[in-house]
Amino acid sequence: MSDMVLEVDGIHTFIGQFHILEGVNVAVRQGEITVLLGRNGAGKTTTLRSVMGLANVRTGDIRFYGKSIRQMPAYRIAQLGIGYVPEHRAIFRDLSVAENLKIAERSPGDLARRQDFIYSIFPDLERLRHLGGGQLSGGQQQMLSVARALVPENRLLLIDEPSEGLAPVIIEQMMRAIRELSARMTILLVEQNFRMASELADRFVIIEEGQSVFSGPMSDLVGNDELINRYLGAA
Amino acid sequence: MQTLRERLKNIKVESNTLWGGIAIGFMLLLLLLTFIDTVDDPRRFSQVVAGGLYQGMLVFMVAAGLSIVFGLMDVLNLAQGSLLMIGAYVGWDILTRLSGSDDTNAFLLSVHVIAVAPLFVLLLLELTERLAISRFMQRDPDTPSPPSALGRQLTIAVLVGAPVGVLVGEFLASDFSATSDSMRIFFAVVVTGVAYLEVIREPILFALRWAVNEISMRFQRGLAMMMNQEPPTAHSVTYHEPERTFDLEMGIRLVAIGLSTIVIAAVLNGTDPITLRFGLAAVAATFAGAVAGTVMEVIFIRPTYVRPFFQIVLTFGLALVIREAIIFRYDTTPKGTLAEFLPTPLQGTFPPAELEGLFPNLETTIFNYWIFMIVMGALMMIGVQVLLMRTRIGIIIRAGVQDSEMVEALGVNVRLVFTAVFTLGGAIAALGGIISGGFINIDPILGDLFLLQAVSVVIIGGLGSYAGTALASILVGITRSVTAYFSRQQFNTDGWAPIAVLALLCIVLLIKPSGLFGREH
Amino acid sequence: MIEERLRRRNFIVQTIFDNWIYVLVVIFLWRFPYLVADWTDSVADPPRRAFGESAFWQSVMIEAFLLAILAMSYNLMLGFTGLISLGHASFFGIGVYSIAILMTQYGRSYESAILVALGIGVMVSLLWAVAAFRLKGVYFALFTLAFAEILFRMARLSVFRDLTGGDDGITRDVPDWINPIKNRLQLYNVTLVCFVFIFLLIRRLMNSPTGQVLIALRDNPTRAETLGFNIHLYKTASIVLSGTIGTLAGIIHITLNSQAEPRTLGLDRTVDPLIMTLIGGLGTNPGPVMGAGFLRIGEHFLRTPELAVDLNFLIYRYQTTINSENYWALALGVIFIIFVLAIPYGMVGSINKTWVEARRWMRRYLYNPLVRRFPRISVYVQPISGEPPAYAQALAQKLPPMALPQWLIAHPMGVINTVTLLIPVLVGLAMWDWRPAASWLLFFILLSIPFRLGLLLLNIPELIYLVAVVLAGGATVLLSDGSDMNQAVAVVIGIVAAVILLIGSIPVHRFLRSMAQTTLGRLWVTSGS
Repeated sequence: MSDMVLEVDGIHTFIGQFHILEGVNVAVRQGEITVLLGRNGAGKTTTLRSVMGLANVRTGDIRFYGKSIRQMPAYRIAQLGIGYVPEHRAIFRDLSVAENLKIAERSPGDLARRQDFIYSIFPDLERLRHLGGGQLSGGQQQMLSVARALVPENRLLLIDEPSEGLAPVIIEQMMRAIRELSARMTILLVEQNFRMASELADRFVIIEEGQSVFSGPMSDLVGNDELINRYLGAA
Repeated sequence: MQTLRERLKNIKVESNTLWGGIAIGFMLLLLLLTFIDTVDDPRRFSQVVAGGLYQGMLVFMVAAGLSIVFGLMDVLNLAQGSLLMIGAYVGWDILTRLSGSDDTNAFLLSVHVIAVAPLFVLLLLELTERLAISRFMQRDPDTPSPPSALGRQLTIAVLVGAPVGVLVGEFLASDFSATSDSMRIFFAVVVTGVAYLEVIREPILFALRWAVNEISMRFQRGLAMMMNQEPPTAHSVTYHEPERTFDLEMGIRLVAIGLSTIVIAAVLNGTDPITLRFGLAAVAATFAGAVAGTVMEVIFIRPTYVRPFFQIVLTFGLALVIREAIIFRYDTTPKGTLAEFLPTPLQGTFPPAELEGLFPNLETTIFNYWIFMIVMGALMMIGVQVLLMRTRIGIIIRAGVQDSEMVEALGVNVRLVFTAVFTLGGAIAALGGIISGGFINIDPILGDLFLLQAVSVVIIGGLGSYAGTALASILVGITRSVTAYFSRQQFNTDGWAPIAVLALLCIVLLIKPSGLFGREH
Repeated sequence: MIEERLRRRNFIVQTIFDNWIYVLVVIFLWRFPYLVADWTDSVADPPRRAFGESAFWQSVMIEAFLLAILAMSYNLMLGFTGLISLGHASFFGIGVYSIAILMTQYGRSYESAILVALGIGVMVSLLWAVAAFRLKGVYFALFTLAFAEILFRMARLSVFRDLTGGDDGITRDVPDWINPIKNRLQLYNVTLVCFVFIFLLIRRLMNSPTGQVLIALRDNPTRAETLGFNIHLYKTASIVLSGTIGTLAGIIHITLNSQAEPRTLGLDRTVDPLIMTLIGGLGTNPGPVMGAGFLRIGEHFLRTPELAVDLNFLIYRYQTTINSENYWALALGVIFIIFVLAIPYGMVGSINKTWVEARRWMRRYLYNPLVRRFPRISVYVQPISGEPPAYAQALAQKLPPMALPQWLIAHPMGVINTVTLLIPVLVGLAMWDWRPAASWLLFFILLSIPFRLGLLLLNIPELIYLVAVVLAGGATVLLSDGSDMNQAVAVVIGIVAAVILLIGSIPVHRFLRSMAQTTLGRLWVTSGS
């Protein structure tokens, strides 16, 4: 049990009056990449938002290194060392790239300490440092969005659909980056692109209609066409 | 070969530039009309221009808070004008209470020592940090403390140490006049150093942390109960045993503190009591505005973030309550202006008699106070601009305007930033209040008067656009003063001036509801 | 439903039975001048006379009616269509000034001036409707605010002194048949008819399909548009109707006061209907009427000089004399803010809500054998999910099940409050003086409002509340120096206040919480901006 980074334990989440998650269990182990799979609208993004404290979790528990974080406000959860890369690359369009990174600092000097590492993973960003966030291309915005989560001292990364709407070359680059990151920290990934998910992830959790229905090591899933067809549609 | 048509097509006029140009053009047109009308009377023309500028700057002081708050939180705080009124009345109250007797001078001095000295010392410390220490001393980038942690400790040290240092230095200097300077240095340094050396620092910090944590937890729990959510779990605050360190850096800082305290003592000793009094009133008014803004956010605005409709109604009601409370406390009779309490350099007209020779052709009756107001407004404009563009809180505010949830997910307590913005807005508005009090009658409709203009400015400038607000406030000021000039000339009344501003607002709303620099929704 | 009703033989009788409470109220209002005359006037004959107490009460009621009409017009825009108007005074003022100017400057008769004034009201509201095409939410609100302010300033301009009379306004009498001095009862009846007619009109409108579209427009404009409704048309209809009714209120105002002054265009005339609507209940039919009645009649009682004297006795330390008018405006503002923060659905909305909630509670707890009947304990001391405190558990174990009433165990603080409250009553009895008791109670009640809010927000233990109240009460007793003897008053007030406090000890936050979750509340939340 000691290598559990994040345990999501039967959470029920509501958006307004709508019952979105009806019992989701996710266990993320130290140093691994766990991927959430499922159809559109199954509740993958809501699971990440629940972990981050951005959604209204009514029952169940979420533990980060054994400590319950369900009732905490989002900023405290982030301060515990969880980085969040939302879908649709929610970067700040009015801020420059450097400011986008700077805002993620949790203690002064974070950016100075880590910018070499960040720019080694995403060399493009160094060149574009002074450009406005709104002027970047989709792929660059996605890189910035991931890079922003690397600025502070994070132990867990939640990444939501990093390949969404990107060109295949950029997806390759993103996969390389995520693999490189997984050597340093634990990652919980939401991914629609099954090929990318199967190449990256160590474990998977399938979410269907707000419930986690199946989980295990990725090797279980790769050959299992019946499971893939049933829950994910044609692979 | 491109045709002219194609070339014209390729010139992309940014929407901002276009509308900004239109606004500036409109302003220039107004001024041109005035200039033509006053071509044989340059004095009148300069009065209209300066009058427009100072009115614009005063309106800006209310509009700045309104605009940032509107952009960041979608709250149109219709009580912002009342904050200005609070500032004006607090200033008036203090100035009338402190007028006259000689005893007040000593009191003023000590109040300044306690209230103003720490601010100066902090400023100097910051400069030391920026100019000397961070430049000449190499730091290991991996050690996780430098400026901020030390800065926080030093803030406490200075807030307690500097006043004590100044007072002790003063006391001793008066007794041993021969050795005054060295004694001042010595005691200022010693007292601040001792204060820093953690006799008091850590317990105070702990108490503060504990109190803040306790209050916020209680508040969150109560709120959660009202909103039918489970109350959040409590966090405890731990007491850290302080690390006692004294090194070269610390030495440099202490010398800086000591020197600055001496400078302050010397400056304060040589200052006119009238100036001191006005400065104190200004500081107190600003503080009152900051407190009022904070209270407004925490108690009234915060519970209604989920109900935006009720929020606007609530601020409307708050404006009413503040006006009535001021009438209740201070009566409806106008209090007149603060002109008699102004420091001497601010009274009189420009240019002063000694410099008359330099401007032989310019016979102007611009009051010095107008220039003061314009300078203060410009300083505020630049200050807020620097705050928004250069500091971390500015980055957070600009990011929060776009997506406050994401900012929170990055580990920033956005609620606290919201409150801070309200505090800042309240402080600026109240400062504007006492400054405007020097020239404008203080009465209970002051708030409504400025509110309408400030709202016009925010809408004309565009939602959440700081540059738009700045430009629009000058535009509104010029419109007002030009209209007042023509209206007085034609109809013998200046009642058309506010109507012109409101008509401008209606026109902008109907033509481009998002304002000059605002984004379309 | 309608067919079923028509099948019944006496449709009219059935309608009356369905709306018996409204019918009673209308009958009461119709007979009101006669009743008041009987109660107050010493001369036997003159219920219709134009002077004296009854005439005064008639004018109070006429003002209440015209305020109610204004508030209903406001509610139509704000509560039913979701258009925030901060410039409703412009309609009111247009009604006032049109009549005055048409009669003095153009020599029109009163009756034809009314028609023209209503026409002007319609045209101005069409202008608003054009603005509403382009502007949404706050922007529309600001447009209306600026519009009303422009009219206000125009009316005060000395340039138009010949037309509007500038700051002084215009005075103009109305014809005899409706003149408030010569024939006040006639004016009363006409106003009552107008009021009832407009109430029925709006009620009918909101029950019609058009009204349902308006509500949909408020709750979700986008969806209403995608369903194929021409939202501009419906918005226009709502604004024009609202504007016309607002103009009518202005016409009644000048008929009653025969003076047009800039004040009728001022911000206060917007604030009044806004406050009345919110206090009465936004988006309900009787809400604005109740709010208007509460405000006008409450104002009458709170502005009397006797009350100001009594209040001076409480707060003389801060001000030697109280301008009771200021006091009323301040109190009104505070009441308004408390309503917005804590009771956002107003009197009518909250009563509806509480009734629904009570029925649900009864279903859930009283009739359900599976639910443990032991009540939740000590709401303020513990978070909701916590265990009952030890003392209460111990008490419950020691006592036989029904030895004490359950509320006594559930709300020990309520009991303590009650006892504390009885102390001044006893003191009053002993001293043979009602003043300490009355002042203590007044202080208690005044204090309890902010304290309740504080308790809710900060989750402070109730003990602090109690201590503060006791201290304040003690201070009040020390301040009071009465000689007037009336122990019966003290006892009655004491009993009433004890009941109030007992009710107050019931977990208020549950009601508040449930209020925050009404359908209306959710709709406001989702439709915002």
